[in-house]
Amino acid sequence: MGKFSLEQKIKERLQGHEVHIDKQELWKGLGIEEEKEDRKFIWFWWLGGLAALVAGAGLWWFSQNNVEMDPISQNTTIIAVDEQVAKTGNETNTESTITDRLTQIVKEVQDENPKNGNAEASINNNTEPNANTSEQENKRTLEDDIENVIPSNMEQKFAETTTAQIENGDRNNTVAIASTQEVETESELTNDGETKTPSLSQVTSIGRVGGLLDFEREKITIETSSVSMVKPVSTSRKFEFEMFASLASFDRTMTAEDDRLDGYLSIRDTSEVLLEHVSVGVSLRYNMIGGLYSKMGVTVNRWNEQYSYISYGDTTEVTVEVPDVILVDLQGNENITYIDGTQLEITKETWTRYNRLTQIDIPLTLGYEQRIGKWSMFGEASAIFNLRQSFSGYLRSTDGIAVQNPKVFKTRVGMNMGLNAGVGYGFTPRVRARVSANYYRSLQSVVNGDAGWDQRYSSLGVRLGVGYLF
Amino acid sequence: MILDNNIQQIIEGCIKKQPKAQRLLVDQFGNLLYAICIRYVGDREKAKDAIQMSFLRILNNIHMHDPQKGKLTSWMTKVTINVCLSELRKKKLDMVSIDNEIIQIPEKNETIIEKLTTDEILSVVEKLPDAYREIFNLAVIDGFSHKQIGEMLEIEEASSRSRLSRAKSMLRDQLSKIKKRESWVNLA
Repeated sequence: MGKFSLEQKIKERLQGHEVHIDKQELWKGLGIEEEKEDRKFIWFWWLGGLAALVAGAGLWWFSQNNVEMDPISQNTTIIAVDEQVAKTGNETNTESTITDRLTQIVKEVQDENPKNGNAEASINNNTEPNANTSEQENKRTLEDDIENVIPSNMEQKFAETTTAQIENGDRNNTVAIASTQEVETESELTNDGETKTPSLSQVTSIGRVGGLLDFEREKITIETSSVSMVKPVSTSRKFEFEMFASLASFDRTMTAEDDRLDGYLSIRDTSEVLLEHVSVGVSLRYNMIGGLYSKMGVTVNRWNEQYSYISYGDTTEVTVEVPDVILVDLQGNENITYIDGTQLEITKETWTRYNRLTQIDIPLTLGYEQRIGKWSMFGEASAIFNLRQSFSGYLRSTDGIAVQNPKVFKTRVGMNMGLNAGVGYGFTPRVRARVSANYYRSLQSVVNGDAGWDQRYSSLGVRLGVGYLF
Repeated sequence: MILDNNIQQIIEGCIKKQPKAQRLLVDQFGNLLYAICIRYVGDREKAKDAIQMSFLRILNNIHMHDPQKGKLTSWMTKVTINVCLSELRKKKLDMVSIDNEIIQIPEKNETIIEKLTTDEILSVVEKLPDAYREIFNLAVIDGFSHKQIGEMLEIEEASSRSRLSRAKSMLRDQLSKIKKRESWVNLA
């Protein structure tokens, strides 16, 4: 019986016994190439990077295509021809220039379109468009029709003319470039003394560069010309589509709600805390009066945290509170002997927790934006409704044992808040970029109530957004 | 505590040769299998070689694990034991003749074992000669019958019994010489 007891005790002690081994060294010894990062995690960064890239490229494109133009009065539609003729040689070119032919073409096009016959089209030799504010409402349709027709017909007529010239023996090579952009008109005072909201106009420009070789007269002529057409853009400019991404570092608060975290079983944060909050989202903004606006959107948030904590677990229940002897070993385990002889062994373990929280939020926002030229300052507050969240992660003890998080997390509707304040810059009348400081705070615990503790997040970071007005 | 569904995911990942799953398997069972290697090989450095070979064999053959026949831990333990036995076969077993030794068997070893830490008990087992240590591990710790041991080690059952008896005697002798090492620091 005695021998059996000894063997049995040895078996009980050694069976399932673990001895710490350096996992990193062991893993390297296996020669298996490990994935550098979690792919599920990578896609999130790629998404954010892609959004930033698209936003950056968009801003660059708009900045490259934004040409400063003089303000044009609202509802004024002009057809203007700018003439610039560069000549080589000493003789003045007496031949009809490309500008002359453009002028002729415009007239021909108007003649071919009876409905445009009454349209007021002026042809000038300067770049300052004329304003015509009389009979605006009646002319709007006719003028719009003219502008819709002229570009294509003008091209066709010009091509026909050029072809005819080539057939007649001239060598005339022309390159034409057309572009359309929107410019913001300046404010306009009404008869009542009120200032109308700045509006948008669409400017279509056709530029041409032509060369004429006249061998008989031994003359080379280079001509440039441009045609600009302006029409008002029908837009309320009340709605704005916005997309944004933010990166923040976050803080976590944890409070115990039951006895499990009191006393010897406690959770204490230690060093090497890694906390990240990344979010991307879109929203629809409605501009109200006086710079006020409201927004509603969808935001996807990802929280990554890594922190260590020390847990103390007792193995024996005692009733005497005043300890007589406390022994602590090098690992921090405590052995307490009480006055009545009862012993309490408290084991200490250091754990590292890796958590990933993914949230889908619906933020409802109210804000104010003050425009100062192309720049603006804004501030907004959001009530954030958390539609869905999922928690994943695991614990790892110092000896490398990994266990999955207890299932204390679930999908539920929650309430959070956000504050956002920063500056904006209008690259075009429709496109505006915004950079802001962003604050996010959980108003409810991110874990279930029956988890035994209350865990909340808050974060402070930078948000980059791009809005498109329509 | 490792959840069963988590293990199942790891197994599936290892079958698909996913490095992340393989790494998780190594992380979760490395300590356990290392202890087994130490018990059998008897040398911690050689045990590291053995555990590497064990994991390579486990990862390459994990598709052969049948959950219906037993838990993954049991299967990996058997694989590790086989690797350790193979390693021991490669070298000449350290057989110490105890015929001429005088074995003093203490009367109350049971009380000694309670005063020792698990690592100290493991150290005692480590110090057994190879031939006796492997029999002791197989028969006492891992519960193989002498018939199974005879097949595994290609020896007679009687020889297995004999070696086990000698292993136990040596173990008791070693245990009687060990004094409990005080590891507590008095802060009171």
